Amino acid sequence: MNLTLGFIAFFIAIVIPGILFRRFFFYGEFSKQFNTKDPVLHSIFFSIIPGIVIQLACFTIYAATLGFEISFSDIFTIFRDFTSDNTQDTDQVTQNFINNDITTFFIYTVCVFTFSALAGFALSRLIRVQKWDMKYKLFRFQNQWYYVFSGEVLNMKKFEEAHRYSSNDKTFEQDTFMTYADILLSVNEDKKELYSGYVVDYDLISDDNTQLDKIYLIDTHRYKKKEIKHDQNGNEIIDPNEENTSKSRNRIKVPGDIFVLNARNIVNLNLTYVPSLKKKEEKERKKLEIKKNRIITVQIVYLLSLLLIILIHFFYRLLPIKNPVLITYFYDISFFGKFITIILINLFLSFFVTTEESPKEIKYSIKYILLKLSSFIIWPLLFYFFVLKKLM
Amino acid sequence: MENNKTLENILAAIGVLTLAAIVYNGLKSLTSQTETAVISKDAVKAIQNPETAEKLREAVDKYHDTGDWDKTELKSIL
Repeated sequence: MNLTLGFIAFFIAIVIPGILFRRFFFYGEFSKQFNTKDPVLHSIFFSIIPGIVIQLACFTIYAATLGFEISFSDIFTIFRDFTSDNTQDTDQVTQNFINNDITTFFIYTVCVFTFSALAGFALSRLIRVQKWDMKYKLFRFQNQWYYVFSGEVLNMKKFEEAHRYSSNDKTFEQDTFMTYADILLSVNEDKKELYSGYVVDYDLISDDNTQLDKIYLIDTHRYKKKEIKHDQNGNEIIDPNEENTSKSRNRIKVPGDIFVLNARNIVNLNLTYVPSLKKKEEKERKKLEIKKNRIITVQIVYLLSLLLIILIHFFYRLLPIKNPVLITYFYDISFFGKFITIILINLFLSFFVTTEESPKEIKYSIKYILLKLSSFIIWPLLFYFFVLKKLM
Repeated sequence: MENNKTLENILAAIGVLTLAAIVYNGLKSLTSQTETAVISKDAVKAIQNPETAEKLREAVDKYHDTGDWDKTELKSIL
């Protein structure tokens, strides 16, 4: 691969944002999907599509908010000059760009990198918060073993339907406290051993992250076949100290803190999900609150209003603004000044959002408003210095 | 004039710090809501106590026999 200027430009503009997006998108247990041991070409290939989308999004946002001082055809010419094999003469607009605007380009690139990381971080969290990975296969992460061991598999559509039939709770949504596993291992061709314990962790095979490598258990027990002893008359001798005398195997505690099982020897796996009562109670309480509380409606209106104000600040160029004060505000006030304005509007709007938990009526406490005022006294001050003073 | 500039700088620094704190808190809350763990810290704590671990095993055994968590004593254990 030749390191031409065109390749470097392509790498900075598309590949690095794509890689950053993927790095922050695959987090926690799903980070195994972003493997640093992947071949370089493989990583580049999978970063191209997110890279292009991010670059287009940043380009559109930049054009609609700050705007380019040069035309789109000039941008195309600069890019063509960079990516060409230097047989053509460099255009005047490209020379001007290199001489005057290269620093702006670097700042823009850093912003694109930051946006990529934030977009990756936010998108994966949004998928998890909204549980889209459990509802739609399209959003599901490749690490299926996480869903299996965390018990989230029970909330996937297929399993949820099946579990409803066997569960007494028809509005079933499982939150797992821990996962108990019975694991049958093949020691050799004739011998098999049964272990049970609580799953604390697992490893996947580095080449294939759909395959289990190891399982880590705590409070592990091994099952051993009972030796049946007979008395002189041929009757079975039952040990009175033995627990579970009716069962065919004895359960023996494995000493130690963590038991590591080689998953390659697993014949089968039986999992029992111990439900989290605390989370269930919390969810039921929240559901009840949502049904009864009109506060939620107020909060939604507040959030939508704030979102609208933020969008207006970003895309004001698309609006037909004629008021001279607004024109001065949108075009002359710095980014920081506008940010302060948004925070101040947010503060104002938040006065109308009460946190008092009353299912029947919405109450506004003066104490609460005063507390908010005193804790955010800094924002009106900042607004005066950075916005109002310049508008007057 | 000079004093005004200093005051503006101090206010800007406080503003930036406050914003950073807001963003940090938001990210922290989002991270805790979406964390991926096979077992919770509370669960590990419960198993580390031999008495609770024993009771939990009995509850699991009972669940295997009855197929109903309500028939176990899970509520009193956890």
